[in-house]
Amino acid sequence: MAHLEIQHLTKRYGSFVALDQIDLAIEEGEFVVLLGPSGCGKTTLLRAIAGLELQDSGHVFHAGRDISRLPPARRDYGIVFQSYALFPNLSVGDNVAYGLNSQKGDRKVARQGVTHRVSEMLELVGLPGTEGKFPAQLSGGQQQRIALARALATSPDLLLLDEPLSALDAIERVRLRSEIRSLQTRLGVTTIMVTHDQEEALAMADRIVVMKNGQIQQVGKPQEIYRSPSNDFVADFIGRGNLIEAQPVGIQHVRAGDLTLRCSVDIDQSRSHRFYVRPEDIRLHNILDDCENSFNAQVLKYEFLGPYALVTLEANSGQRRPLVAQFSSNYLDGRPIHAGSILRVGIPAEHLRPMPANA
Amino acid sequence: MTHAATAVPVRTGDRHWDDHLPAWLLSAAALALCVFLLLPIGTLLAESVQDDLGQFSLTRFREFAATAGMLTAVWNTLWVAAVVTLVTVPLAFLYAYAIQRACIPLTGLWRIVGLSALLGPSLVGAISFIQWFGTQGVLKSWLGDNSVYGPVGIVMATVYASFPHALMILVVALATADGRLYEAADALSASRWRKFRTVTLPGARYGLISAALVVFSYSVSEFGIPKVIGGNFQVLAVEMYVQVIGLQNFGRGAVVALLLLVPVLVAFVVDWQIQRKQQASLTARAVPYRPKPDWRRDLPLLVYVAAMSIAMLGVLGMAAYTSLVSFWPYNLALTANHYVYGLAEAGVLDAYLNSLKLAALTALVGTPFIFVTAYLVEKTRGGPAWLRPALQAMTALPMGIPGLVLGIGYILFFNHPDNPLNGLYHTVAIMVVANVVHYYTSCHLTALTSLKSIDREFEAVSASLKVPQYVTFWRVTLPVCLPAVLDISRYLFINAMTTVSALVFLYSPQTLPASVSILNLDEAGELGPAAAMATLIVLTCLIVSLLYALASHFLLRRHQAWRHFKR
Repeated sequence: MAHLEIQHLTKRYGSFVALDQIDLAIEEGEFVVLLGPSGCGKTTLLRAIAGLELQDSGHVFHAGRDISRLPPARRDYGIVFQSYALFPNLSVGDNVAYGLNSQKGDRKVARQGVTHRVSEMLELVGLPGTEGKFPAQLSGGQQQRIALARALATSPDLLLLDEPLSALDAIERVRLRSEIRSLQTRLGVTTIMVTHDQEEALAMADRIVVMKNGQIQQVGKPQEIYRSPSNDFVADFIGRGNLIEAQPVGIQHVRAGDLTLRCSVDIDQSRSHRFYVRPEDIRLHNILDDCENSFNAQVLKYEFLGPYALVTLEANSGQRRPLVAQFSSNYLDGRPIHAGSILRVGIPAEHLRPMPANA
Repeated sequence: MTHAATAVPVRTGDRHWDDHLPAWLLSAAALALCVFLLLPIGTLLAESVQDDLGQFSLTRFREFAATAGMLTAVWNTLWVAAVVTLVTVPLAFLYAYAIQRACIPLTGLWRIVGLSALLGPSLVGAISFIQWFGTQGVLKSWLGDNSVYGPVGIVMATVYASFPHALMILVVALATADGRLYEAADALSASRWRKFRTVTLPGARYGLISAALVVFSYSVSEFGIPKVIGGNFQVLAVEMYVQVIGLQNFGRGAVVALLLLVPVLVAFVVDWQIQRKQQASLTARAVPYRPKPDWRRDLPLLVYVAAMSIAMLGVLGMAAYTSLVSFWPYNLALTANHYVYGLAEAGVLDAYLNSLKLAALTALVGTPFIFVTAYLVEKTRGGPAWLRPALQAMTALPMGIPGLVLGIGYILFFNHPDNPLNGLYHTVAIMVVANVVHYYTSCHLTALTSLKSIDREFEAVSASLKVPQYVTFWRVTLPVCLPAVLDISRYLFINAMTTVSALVFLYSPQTLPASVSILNLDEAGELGPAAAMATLIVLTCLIVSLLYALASHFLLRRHQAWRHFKR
C-alpha cells in the first residue's frame, strides 16, 4: 500500500458532486500537486485528507492507518493556507512554537527545547532572529514562510499546502516556490499542494494530478502531463495547444484538409484521428524549404509577448480553429512577421501526438 | 457506482470526548434560548387565543375590539410612530451626513453628544420636556395653545430617545461609500444635488430604511414616555400596562401584547430581508470616499450639528437642573434635598443599588454566554444539521420583540404554578435573564462580526498542530475579539441600567430597579426625586462609559501591542 492512499472518495454538497470516486496513491517523500480550475474539487480533496471536510464515502489511508473518519487533531499533518492564518496576537516565535507547547514534560527543559526548535525552524525558512516580531510587521512572503515553519515545527509526516502562493505578488511567488521545493526535497516530507496555476504545478511537482468536476483527469510527471495530455481538457488547461483532426491515408500518414502529414507512430486505419501539437513545436522554415510535414500558412495575427511571440496561422488544414504557433524571440532574432504575409512552417513528425480515441 | 451511495457509518470509538463538546454546549445554549425566549412568547400567543376556560377561541380579540378606546389606542400608537419616524430619520440623516461626509471640526464630540440620549432611561427626555414645555415650563409659549401632555410631548420625547438609534445606523451607512462613484460623477460634471440624489441617497438607502424601521418599532413599543408625558392620550403600550398591572387582566394583556408584537415583528422581518440584500452592495475593490472641504456645505451643517447638540444637552441638562432645584418653579435655589431626602431617606436609593447590581450581573452573565454561543455557531462543527440555523434564528428574534411583550411572556410562563422554574419569578435572576434576552441580537451580531473578521482557518491550523480548540479560543480568538467583548459588556450594562420595559412586570419590592423607580416617583408626583434618580443613572452610565474607554485603551496598549504594527 502506498504511503497515502485514497480510495473511492466521494463528497457531495446537495446535488453538487465535489469529489466523484477519487482514487489516488502517493508515495513517501513525493511532492504531488492537485491542479485544476476553481470548483474542480482539488481543495475539497485536500481538506478531506486533512479531516476538515468529511467525505460521504470512501477511505483515506495514511502510513497504513485508516484515517477516513478521524478528526483533524488525530491525523498527522501540517497545513499552510493561502491566507497564512498566522495568529495576529502572538509573536512569530509563539506562532512557530504553537504546536510544540502542548507536549508535556519537565517545564524548563521543555522550554529550552521549544526555543531551540523555533530558532531552528526560522533558520530553515530563512528568517532567523524574527522571533520577537508580530506577523503584521512582516511581508506576505515572510508571513507565509513563518506559516511554513509553524506547520513543519512538529515534524509532521505529511505537509498540506492550500494555494500557499496565490496571495503573493509575482516575484515573491516565484522565489518562494523554489524555496518550498528545495525545503521539501531536503526534509523529504511527503507534500500535497493545491493550486490553479499550471506554471507553479509544472515547476514544483514530482507528479501532477489534474482535476475537473470532482474527477481526476490525469496523473503524471510534469513532462508527461505537458507532452502527452490524456484528453482535451488536460491539453487545454496545461499550456496552449492545437488540435488537428485528420484521416489516415497510410500506416503513418494522415490527411488534414490539403495537408498530408506523417506522424511517428503507426496508426489505426479504421477511424479518424485527432492530433495534439504544442505551439512551440511548430517550426519556422525557409520559404523554399520543402522538408517533411512543412506547408505554407498565412499570418492572421502576430502578438509580441517579450521572450516569445504568438502567431496565429491559417493553413489549408481543414480545421475550424486556426493554428497557433509560438516562436521564441531568440529564434526569430529580430526577423519581423507581419499579418497577411505567408510563412513556411512545419510540424516535426514526433510532435504530432495522437490523442486517445475517446477523450 | 453503487457502493458510492452507501455512507460509511461514523465509528464513535475513533472520537474523543472533546470532539463532541461544542455540539453539547451549543445544544445547551439552544435549550436556554428555547426556555427563556420561545416558550414565554409561545405561552403569550397561546394565552391570547384562549377563553377563560382554556379553550381555543378568539373571544379575547372580539372583547378587545369591542372595548371603548382600544381601537383609538391602536390608531394613536401607529400615527404617533409614523410622525416620530418622519421627524427622527431626516434629523439623524443630516446629523450623520455632517459627521461622515462633511469637513467639520470636532466630529468625535458631535458623535458622542448625538448618542448621549443612550446614557439615560427614555424617561429622562419625558421629564425634561415637561420642565421645558409643561404647565410651568420655561418655553411653554413655544407650543402656543398645544399642551405638552399628549401626542406633542410623546413625539418630542420619543424623537429625542430614538435619535441615537437612528444615528448609529446612519453613521455606519454613510461611512461606507465608494469614492470611485463620486469621482465618476465629478468626471461627468454632475451637480452637487444630482450627486446627492444619484449616489449618496441610493448608497444609504438600506441604512435609511433600516433606521426608519428601528425608530418606528422603538416608538410603537415605548412605554415609559407616554406613561410620563402622555396625559390621557391612549397608546397600546400603556394600555397593556394598565391591563396587566392595574386590572390584573392577563388575558387582555396578552391580546394587546400581540397587537404590539405584530408591527414590530413585521418591521424586523422587513429589515432582516433588507440587511441580507445589502451585503453585496460594497465590493472589496471600493475606494473609500474622502470629502474635500467646502464651506458652502460645511458651514450650514456645522451650525445644524451645533444647534442639535445644544438641544440634546439642553434635555439632559434640564433633567440634572430639575434634580438640584428646591421647588420648581417657585424656589430656584440649588439644593441636594432631592438626593438626600427624596431618594436616600425615602429608601429609594436601594433601587439605584439594585440597578447597579442588575447591570453588573447582566454584563457578567450575558457577555460570556453571548460571545461563547456566537463562537460555537461560527467556529465549531458537529451536532445535528438543524442546530446552527435554529440557533441563528433564535438569536435574531429578540430584536423583533418589544421589552413589554417579553416581560408579559415571562409573567405568563414563569408565574404559572405548574412551571418547575416558578421559583425564578420576582428574583434578580429572572431580571438578568430578561435583560440578556431582550438585548441579545445586537450583542450577537457584534460578536459574530468580530468572529467573522478573523481568519477562518485558525481552528484548522490548531487542529493540525494538535492543540485543543479551547486553547486556541483562549490564546487567540478571545484576545483578538477583546474590543468586541468589551463593547458587548458595556452595551449590556448600560441597557440594563436604563431599561424600563421588560422589567416593569418582573420586579418585586425588594428588586425594584432605578429606572422603574423613576416611573413610580413620577406617578407619585415627585418630579424632583425622579429627576435626581434619572441624573444618577445618566452619571453612572457616563462614568461606566469612561471607565470602559480607559480600560480598553489600557488593555489595547498593554496586551494588544500587535494591533499597532502596520507595515
